[in-house]
Amino acid sequence: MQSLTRLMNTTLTLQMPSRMPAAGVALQQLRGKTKVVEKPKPGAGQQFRRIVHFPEEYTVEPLKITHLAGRDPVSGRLVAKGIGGGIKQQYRWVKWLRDGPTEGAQEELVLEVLRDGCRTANVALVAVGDELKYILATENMKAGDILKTSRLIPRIPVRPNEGDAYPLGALPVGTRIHCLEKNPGQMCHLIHAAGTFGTILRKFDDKVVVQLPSKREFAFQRTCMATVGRLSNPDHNKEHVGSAQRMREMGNRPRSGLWKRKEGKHGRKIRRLPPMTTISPPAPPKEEAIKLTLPL
Amino acid sequence: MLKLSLVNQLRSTYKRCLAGQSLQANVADSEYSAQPVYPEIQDPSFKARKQRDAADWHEEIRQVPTVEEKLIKINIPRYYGYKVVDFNDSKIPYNALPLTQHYTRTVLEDLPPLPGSQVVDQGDQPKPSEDASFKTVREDVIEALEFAHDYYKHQEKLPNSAQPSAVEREQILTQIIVEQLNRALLQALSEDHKHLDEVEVDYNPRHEAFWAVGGVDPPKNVINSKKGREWQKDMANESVDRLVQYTGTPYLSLRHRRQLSPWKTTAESENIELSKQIPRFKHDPRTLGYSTKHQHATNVPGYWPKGNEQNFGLLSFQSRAHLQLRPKSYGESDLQEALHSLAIKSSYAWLLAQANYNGFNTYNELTYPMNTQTVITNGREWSFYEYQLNTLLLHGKYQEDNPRVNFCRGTKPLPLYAEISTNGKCVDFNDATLRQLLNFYANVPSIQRSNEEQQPYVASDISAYENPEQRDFIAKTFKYLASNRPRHLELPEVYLWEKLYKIDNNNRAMEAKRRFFTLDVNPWRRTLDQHDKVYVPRAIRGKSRENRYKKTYYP
Amino acid sequence: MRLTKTLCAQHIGWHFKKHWLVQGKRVPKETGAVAELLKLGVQVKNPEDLLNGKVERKIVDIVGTRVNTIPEDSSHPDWHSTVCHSYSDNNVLIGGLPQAQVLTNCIEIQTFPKQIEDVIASQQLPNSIDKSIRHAILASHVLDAEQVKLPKVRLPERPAFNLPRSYGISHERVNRLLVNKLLHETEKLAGRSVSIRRKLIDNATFKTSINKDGDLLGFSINAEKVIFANRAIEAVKGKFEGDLPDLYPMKTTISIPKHHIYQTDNFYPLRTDISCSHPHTIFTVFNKNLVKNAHGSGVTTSQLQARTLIKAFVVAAARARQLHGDSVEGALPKPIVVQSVQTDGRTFHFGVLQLNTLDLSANNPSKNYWFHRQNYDLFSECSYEAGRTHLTNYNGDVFRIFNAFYNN
Repeated sequence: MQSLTRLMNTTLTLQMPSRMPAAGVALQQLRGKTKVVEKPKPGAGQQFRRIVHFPEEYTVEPLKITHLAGRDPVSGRLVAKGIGGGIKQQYRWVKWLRDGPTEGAQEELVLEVLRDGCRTANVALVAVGDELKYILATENMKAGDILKTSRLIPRIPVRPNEGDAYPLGALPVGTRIHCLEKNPGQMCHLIHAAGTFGTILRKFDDKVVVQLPSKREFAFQRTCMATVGRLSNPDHNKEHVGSAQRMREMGNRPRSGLWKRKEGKHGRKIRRLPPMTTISPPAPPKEEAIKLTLPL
Repeated sequence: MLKLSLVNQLRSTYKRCLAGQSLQANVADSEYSAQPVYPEIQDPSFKARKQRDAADWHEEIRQVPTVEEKLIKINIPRYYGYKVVDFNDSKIPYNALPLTQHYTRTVLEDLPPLPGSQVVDQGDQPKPSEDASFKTVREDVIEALEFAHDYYKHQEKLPNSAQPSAVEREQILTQIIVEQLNRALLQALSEDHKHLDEVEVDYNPRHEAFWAVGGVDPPKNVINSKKGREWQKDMANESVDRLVQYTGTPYLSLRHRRQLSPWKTTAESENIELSKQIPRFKHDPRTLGYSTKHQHATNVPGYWPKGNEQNFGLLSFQSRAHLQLRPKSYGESDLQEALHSLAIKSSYAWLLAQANYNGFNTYNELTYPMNTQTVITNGREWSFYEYQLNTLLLHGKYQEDNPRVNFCRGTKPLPLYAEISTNGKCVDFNDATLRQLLNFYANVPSIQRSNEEQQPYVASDISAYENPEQRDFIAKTFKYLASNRPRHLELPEVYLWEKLYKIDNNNRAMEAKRRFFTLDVNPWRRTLDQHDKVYVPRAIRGKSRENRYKKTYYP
Repeated sequence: MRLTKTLCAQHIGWHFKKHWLVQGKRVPKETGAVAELLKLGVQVKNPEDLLNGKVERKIVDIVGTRVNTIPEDSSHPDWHSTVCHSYSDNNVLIGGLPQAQVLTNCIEIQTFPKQIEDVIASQQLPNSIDKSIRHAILASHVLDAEQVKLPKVRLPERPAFNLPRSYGISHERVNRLLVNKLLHETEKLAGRSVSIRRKLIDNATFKTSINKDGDLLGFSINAEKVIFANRAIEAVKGKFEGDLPDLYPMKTTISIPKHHIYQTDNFYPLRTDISCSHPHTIFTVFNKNLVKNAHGSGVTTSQLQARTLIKAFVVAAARARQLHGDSVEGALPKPIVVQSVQTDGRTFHFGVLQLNTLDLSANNPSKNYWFHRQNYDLFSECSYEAGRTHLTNYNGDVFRIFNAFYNN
């Protein structure tokens, strides 16, 4: 296995002269030699906008953030352009796990709907038992609402209220949903942005087809949890930034001004949507590569 | 302009001649008098001119109508604040008494023993009614003392509390005792002494005062600077004025709308012989351990001007907790002197600050004496002082010429009780100390002056000003100065390397001249009003280009 | 013009290096060797552990260094395995007054007890008193000369603004002076006969802990001013009925922070054998910069009133425990009455708690009583602007209630 190969590798390095003292040390920087820095590519779900200082336990206290200004926190190199500055917001840690009993339903009370500076949708402070948590607020959610959460999939679809969380299989066709579980275990993976929603289109076998905000259709397993309703702050996409300074307050730097003809960024040919896709189970984690340390 | 006026004069003379009038008669009427009146002959020497300028400035301060503006006026010469000797109630160095007496022009006496206590000593029975009331007060006080100690001891049992230092412990305990005792005494005495009903109590008030003291040897930098100029060499060792800023927070102070009656007559107070006998401390105060700092002159007796009727101090309770930090090797007598010195400076400063709210200050002399009473205590030991403020003029030549002196009389520290026993009972309660304290409370403030007499140099009040912008400006500037907040710009500084390579030796001649000393700018000459004016946004002022900047109303 | 021929050679070593950057990272294939070795009983270790094994650092005790902080884990001397809901000064009950009622087993009665109501209605105050109270308000809010840096002010609608830092009287001092001055006026009215029977102290700590339905509740509070009396306040006559509010789906302990490190001792700031040791009235200060909801929102009126109740309850409970021993449970032999006042310098909330029982379980038929009225504003605005003091909408009722509470 890999550990064995590692063993071989390190014993090899041990036999080398003592110029190279220990294995696993980063490349020694020699004079005149190019320093190799690995930096991630932009995209892939990482924003390079801020890191949030999460405590060990879940808390509803507003969390402190550090602005990254488009830099990779590991190497410190610039990855994403056009990010920097902005008002220091506080992060509200949304508890993605909406776990309910398999029989009956758990009821939760909405205490307050709050604005979170780090996301577009509003968040709702919810109390259940002696626990407080945040969830994403729906369009019409208000303080005093009672939300239900259940993992039960009855024979006849339930009649859900806004903010309730059920498995996809328990919801009637045509329901608007958000905070959709992509695969069982990946809670609230999809549909987070303000005013967005997915629609349950049809069901077949043990799959449920949902149209995501991108209008593409995906087939999910029927046990995937989803929250009912449209996300709050629906006018977010119609809001104007208003001024250049507002853009800076939001943490964006002036754009380069360069028009790129070939990237299709400023207008793309309209094509037919791809056909429905079945969501595949998550890929197994990649095996870690061994870095060989021969100092070439 | 001048020439033109001459021409005009000539022309008018010419016209009159043409008209046939006599030249002689007409001119005599307007310009000449029978007796020649000459302007005063002024001494043109440098020193005299300086003195005249100073006197003019003091006169200007006197003419300023309101209390707030007077303080602003005093502060105007220094943008970064004056360099002051830091006098405070928490630091009393060794051998502090002569300096304190010099800096406050105070004669120290012993407090005469109470008439009541003498009676008791002689074995005569005091009046029964007095005795009964004293007994109730005594009981109240003992109960308050025991309660305070009980509470404090019980509080110390609290786990997880950070251990305070010895000084802090004494301060906490004494604060409790003083507040309890004050409450008990006010309650017990207010029936017999109606003046206590009108008393205003300040809890840990802020007492600050600023004054100038003459007759102190100049510091080395001043001597060096003067020796550097040929024409000033002779004056190099002449004494200079030192500015003093007192800062203190007593445990408690009581104020009343009337003044305490003075215990020294005017004749006793004006004694040039006595004033010569006051000890002088000519050395730099830093030699004793006092430090200096830059700050604006502030005079605060615990409240803002014109806010209160209760304008005159009755009694203040000072802390002696910091005396614990003095080494034991200073000895008993120095501790006694330290207490005297604390009493003198705190009383002087509080009275000066009160006087300041009546329009007087260190440059404008008092027109009537002011009195206060001071108690220094750690809960067990109580020292009692009375102070009479007769003069405020201590600067320059007044150090020698001023015949008036201030008086302070006080006692040794008297124990109020020996100890509090383990079961919380007060042991060996000292009636004499309590009587002394009662005497201070019972001292009726009786003097009330008319407004003109009380505030001869105050012509107006800022709340009476018509212009709201002006009121706002004066109030804000006054608070800004009195808040002791750091100036927006840092104090200018010459780095040591700059002193060596740029000032003393011109080794960097090619360097761009950016620093103030290369530009021949003395930042310490910057005055308070030399700053950019506040811009008024167009949305407020309208389209006009006039009034783009807010007006300033410096006196 | 170049005369020599261009040598189109490249440095091959550079290419090796670039190539090695890519090829030097390998994901090893599973060969089954580990399984074979394990089958043969050979121990397989990770080379990382062998080569970069952890070196235990020896901790040397150096005299004179600062005391090591005790780690806040199970090695802490006060660590308990059962969790405690620890309520302290800066906590807010998110459920507001209903939660506080359930927590303390109190029924709410929206008047004061009859004896206080009678005093409020019948008391004769001199005409000059309003003038003195106005002066007391101004003296504590505006005219005191303290100048300290005040907390930062942010404009919600202009989050990017950095306003100039203002200096002024600190919130603690404003309240200390205001309460002291109001008490001074009250005692002047009451005279020695009443005030001799009262004692005042500042910043008293009260601690107690109580079991409620299997949850351990710890309370540690500070009352900025406490009046002690030489005789306990008489229990309110009459029986009051009412139901506790329903908090479903919340539990009563919601938003009280849970801790494993705590002490369960009882603390009352005075000994029992002092003449003036009965709790009479407590004054607590509400500072909106310190007391906030866990999620950062401001405190609502109901939550503020809950705070008044909890503080009164802790004082009464600590007193009950002190009088009747730490093991006292259930109904008290004699009810304990505590008056509680909360203020932020402008708004006053008055309440009276009668502690009948220390058994807080939900099915206990006997209840504690909480008498209170709505909040009162002492004034609407008190400021110093442009050289003039302003005090608008002064409300004289507040002092009448204050006075009645003192004389009760």
